[in-house]
Amino acid sequence: MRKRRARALALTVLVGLAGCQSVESPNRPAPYEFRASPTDPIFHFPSSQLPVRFWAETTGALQEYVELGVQMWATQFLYGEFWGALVADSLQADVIVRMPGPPPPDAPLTDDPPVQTCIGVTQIPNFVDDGSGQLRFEARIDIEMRWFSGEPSDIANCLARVTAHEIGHAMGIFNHSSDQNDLMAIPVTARRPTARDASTIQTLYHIQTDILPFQP
Amino acid sequence: MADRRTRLAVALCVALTAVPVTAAHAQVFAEFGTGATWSSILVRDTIVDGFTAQPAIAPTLGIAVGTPLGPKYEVAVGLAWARSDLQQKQTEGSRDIIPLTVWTGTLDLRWRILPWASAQASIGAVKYSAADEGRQATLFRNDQPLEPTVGLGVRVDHPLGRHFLVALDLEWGLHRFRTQALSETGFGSRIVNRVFLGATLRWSNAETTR
Repeated sequence: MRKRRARALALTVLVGLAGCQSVESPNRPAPYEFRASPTDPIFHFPSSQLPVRFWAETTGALQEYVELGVQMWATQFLYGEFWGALVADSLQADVIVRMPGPPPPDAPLTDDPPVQTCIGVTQIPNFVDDGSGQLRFEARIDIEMRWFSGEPSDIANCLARVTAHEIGHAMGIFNHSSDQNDLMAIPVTARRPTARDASTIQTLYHIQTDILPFQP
Repeated sequence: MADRRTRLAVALCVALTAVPVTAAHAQVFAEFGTGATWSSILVRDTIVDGFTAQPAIAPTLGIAVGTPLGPKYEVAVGLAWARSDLQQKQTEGSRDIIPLTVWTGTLDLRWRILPWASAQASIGAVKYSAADEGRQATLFRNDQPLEPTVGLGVRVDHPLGRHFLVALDLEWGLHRFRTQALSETGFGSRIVNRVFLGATLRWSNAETTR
């Protein structure tokens, strides 16, 4: 009887010790350079400023593309390092997304091969010392999207892809990937962040930021 | 696979509790407990630097109903709720990731080992539930895991009038932890230990005796 109790106790201890097992981190692809130049200061939104607030014009399906892009990037994280939300007031936003000109023809997103029927530009503001020795952006980050003539579905697919790419810039990837398969490569052909994009954005968000976002 | 195991565990709980309740001629007790739960690390990872994700010590509430199975044994069905922040911890400090609720449903078998103390063995299921806001950016984005759990515990108790009893509980539970987001990133599963320390007030429709 005592032997059985001792065995039960030993088994319990062993099972408990199993809880102390060390699970290795998975192998992630090597990140690409996220700074425009390796000596540039680093920027990402600090965890204290989440969710990152995006404001998008109501032109066409732009808001939908922004929401999709933000969600695609948020799902590259496991530890809540970045997530965003659309806001109705541009004055409350951290990132402004515009699409000047007429709205693009309405079309659903498809899996068709990419056709370059749009462009996007992310305007990264200048940064200054805010008086306390901390670098801070002087203005909000601004994304501008433009579309050209083409098949409606090609335009929609292009706008969705390029908006997600520009959101990657707004999040702090100020460089382009040299791997054409990555979302952060140009021209943009990927529909969503790849494992290398994920590894890069995760690395960026695990390094102390040198620049803080604009504060009105 | 996990769903099938969970369904099995629930069916077992129902079957095992239904029989003794009938046999005990409606001698029942109800318990309300409160305390704190410590949990071991859920994930260990390295991105630039090494860090862990671990729930902070969680305030815990529990309820249970049960029935005696004779002079020394009793069986109970319990449900516990624990809520705290999932924290990222590294050498530079810690930060909160997301509020995390852990529900635990168990079937408990207790037996008296001393006039003032009893031991407990439990089986059941643990369910993690992360807050909706920001959940998509966490390891809980695709699912809210439900895992079978086993546990052991000790209880020191003291009668409080004819129908009440107050007890101090120390319980340890063990379950596997994994999520779809972790699996997709290349993580395996991990065994998680949880330890609860708390006080329980118990009411019984029979007189409390030792």
